[in-house]
Amino acid sequence: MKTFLTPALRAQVVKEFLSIMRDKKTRLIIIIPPLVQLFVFAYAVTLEVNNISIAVYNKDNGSQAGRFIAQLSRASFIKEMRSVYSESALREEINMRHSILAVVFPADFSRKIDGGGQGKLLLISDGRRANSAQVAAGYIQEIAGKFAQVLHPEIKVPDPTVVRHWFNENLTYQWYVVPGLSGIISLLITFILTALSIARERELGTFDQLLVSPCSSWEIILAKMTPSIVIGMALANAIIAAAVFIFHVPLLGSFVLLEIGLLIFTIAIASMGLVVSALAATQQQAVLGSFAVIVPIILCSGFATPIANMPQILQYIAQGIPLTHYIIIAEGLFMKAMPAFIVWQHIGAMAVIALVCLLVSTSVVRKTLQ
Amino acid sequence: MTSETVVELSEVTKRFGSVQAVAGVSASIPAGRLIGLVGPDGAGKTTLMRIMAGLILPASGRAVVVGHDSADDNESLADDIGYMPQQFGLYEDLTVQENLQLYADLRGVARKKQAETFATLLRLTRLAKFTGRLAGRLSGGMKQKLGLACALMARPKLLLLDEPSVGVDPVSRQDLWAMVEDLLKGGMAVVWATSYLDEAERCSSVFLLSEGKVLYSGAPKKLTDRLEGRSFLLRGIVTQRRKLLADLMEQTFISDAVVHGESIRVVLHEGRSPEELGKLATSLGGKIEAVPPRFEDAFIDLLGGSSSRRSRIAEKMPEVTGSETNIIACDHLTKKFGNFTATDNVSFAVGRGEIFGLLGPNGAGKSTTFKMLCGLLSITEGSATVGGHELLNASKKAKLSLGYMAQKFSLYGLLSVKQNLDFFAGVYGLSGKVKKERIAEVIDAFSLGPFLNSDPAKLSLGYRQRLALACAIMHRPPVLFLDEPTSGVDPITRREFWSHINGFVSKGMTVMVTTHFMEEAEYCDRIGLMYAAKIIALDTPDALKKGAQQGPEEPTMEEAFIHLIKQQEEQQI
Repeated sequence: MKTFLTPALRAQVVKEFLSIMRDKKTRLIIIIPPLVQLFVFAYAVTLEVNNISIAVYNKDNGSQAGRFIAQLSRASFIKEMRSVYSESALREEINMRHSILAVVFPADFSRKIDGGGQGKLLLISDGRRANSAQVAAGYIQEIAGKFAQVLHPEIKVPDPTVVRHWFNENLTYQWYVVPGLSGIISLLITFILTALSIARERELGTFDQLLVSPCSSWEIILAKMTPSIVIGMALANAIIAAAVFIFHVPLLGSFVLLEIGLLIFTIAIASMGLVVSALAATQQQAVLGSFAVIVPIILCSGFATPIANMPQILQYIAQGIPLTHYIIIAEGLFMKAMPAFIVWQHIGAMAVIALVCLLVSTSVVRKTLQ
Repeated sequence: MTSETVVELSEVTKRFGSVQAVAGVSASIPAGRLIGLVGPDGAGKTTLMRIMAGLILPASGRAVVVGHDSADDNESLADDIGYMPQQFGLYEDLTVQENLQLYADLRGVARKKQAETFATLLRLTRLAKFTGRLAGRLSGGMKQKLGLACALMARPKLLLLDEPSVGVDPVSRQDLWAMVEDLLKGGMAVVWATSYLDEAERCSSVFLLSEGKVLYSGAPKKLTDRLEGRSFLLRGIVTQRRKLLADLMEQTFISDAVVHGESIRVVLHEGRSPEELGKLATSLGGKIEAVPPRFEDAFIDLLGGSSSRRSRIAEKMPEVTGSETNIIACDHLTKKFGNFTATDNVSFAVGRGEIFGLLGPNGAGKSTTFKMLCGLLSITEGSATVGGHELLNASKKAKLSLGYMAQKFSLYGLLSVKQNLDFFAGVYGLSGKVKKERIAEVIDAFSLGPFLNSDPAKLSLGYRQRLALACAIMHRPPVLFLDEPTSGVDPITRREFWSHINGFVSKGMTVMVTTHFMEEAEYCDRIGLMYAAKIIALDTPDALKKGAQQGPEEPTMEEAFIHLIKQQEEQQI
């Protein structure tokens, strides 16, 4: 070990750390955005539908409609019910996005029910916000089903499906998001820090100085990757700690495996960042280049949308993205104690990706050295 | 017309934090004259310039520029002046034409008049052939000329040029002078700030600033005349001149001494007779010869004489020994970038303990040659070796023999002074006790003690240069590469820098230096003059000057340089 960590390598690693940590602004950039992201993702971005406004156009004014509206008003997901009194007002209501959904009671709603028949509701949803509107429509259908059950207990409506969400029984959104977030944040920071490293030296003119010194290109690469890997892992661990202690996500699998996965993951990311850095002439190019790579990585990784829903070609590409594997590992180890051999398969996949990226980045860096 | 006063400064002051940048300057600048603003780094030249440009308001005192008080009438002032800062804001991603267009529009030049204005400016700058080229791809000299063209867009009454010739080769510098002389004829007043004193000599009057005060104002000739009878060349001491220089500087009767080709140029303190120097010369087997004083002699003398002494760091260095004779060697060295040949069949060899200078205009190929030698660029044909090794893929041991200091002092701005020293010591494999000792040694020798926790960017240029040199030599390399080491540095700092280099060379270190600064060429043992990718002349500075001699007077290095290039151009036609 002592021969490996030569004074030259140590000096470089120290220099890289200092270039990142000595500047107050860079320090803040490392700490503040990940915190903001943690809270944005954990609280603001939510897939649940809550606090919505719906429009009610009651052409009926009978007793049954009144009862139904009373039930709706007790539903917790609705913040406000806005009554409208004409077709045009209804149109306006959806158009202007005051309401995401409108419930229309036909004029014969109460009459039909009182006469022992079936009353029908009309739901108009805002297709521009299809996702939320669908979820809300689902909630309302559920309420309607219960309403019908009370009126006609004798009619055997086929039992509404009972859905049980394993591993996350209450569908707590944070349980689903926060473990993956540790991957996103270490991806961002590790990638950008390495991407800036060579570009910064090139821009400031210190890179030539480094090249004439007796450092080998392996030493330069190792020295550039180390701080970003260490900082990326530290941030990921901060998120993991937040997941366990703040959001109480159950960590059922092995913590050690998670750390190994994280290490391999950050190595892969740092080598990708290094390729961008070796190609960029200025720091500005490096930042733009980073985003050109990071955004597709996040979109294809399965963090936001399931990989299984993607076109076949993207599914293959997703397998080549380290974040995909890390998210599987993180979610697997957190909520369902994923068996070690599966974790190792994904770690292996990431190791292969890391190795390829490392070879590419070494050859790109070496080429730019000449 | 010429009696009209363009700038009137009265008791102008400006302070930045604890630094008194300008301390009560009064000056009056008439139209149609070229005024030099000279002084060491940090003397307040740029601040004074920015006050005249109305970009900084004086803390006290008044600045009246082209009839506008800079405090009350700031906006209309901007219409009547042209200001070219040290880094003129050219848009490097736009072409020459687009840059002109942009500045014309910004300056509100009427569209109808633009074509005519551009034609005049392009003719003046001789840039007409390059209108389609990106500004970022221009050479340093061409960039400065384009900057000047943009600054002239509004036909100002006062033109302020802040160190316009830094990094500009002698040929482009001549163009710049020609442009300025043209402008003066038109009645414009031009203020030219510079740390190159040969330029100051050409001004009709100079303001010599030091620590924010005017030490001298008036014709440069008058200041130079004060030194009549005090400047001498010490001849016949070729082999020992560098060691001798340090000894001379310790003599109380000497105000200043510099290596000048094969001689040493000595300036005596006021009132000292040349006899003492004569005796000293005879005892060394040389002789003295009285020479006319230069403005630089007067400048150094006015600032209290050269302060550089024997280099303490050089004394601690061990003697470099070894048997090889050609430490640095190029053999039929060629570099091609696509169809473009940057270095064409260059051969030379540098022996131990020699200072070899590579000179040439921008784009002549000296940087390319330099970079191939130190292993920063691959070689197309031929070979380039240092200590017998090609450095591009050399072993660590071979690279350890090289010390390197680049143009833009390649220090890590995000690291403190001490951290920079630690880093460079470590990268060159120093550790433990040796590392501590060497760092302590340079801190002591370069007086870096008080600045250890500062950022390099906050140091003065002189200290930054000391630090860069310290970082380059801590591992005691037998070979030192200097890429434009004193570009834009004032004469006092430059003397100090060369006192160290002289010391190293006396110990057997080999030095390779690129420069466009002609005075610096005088410090070299031999010079390779590069032009259009080839070495067109290679000899000692004195021999080069003799070769270019046409009249009775010995030409300056710059004249020799221009002569040789013109000769080459004629041969090609």
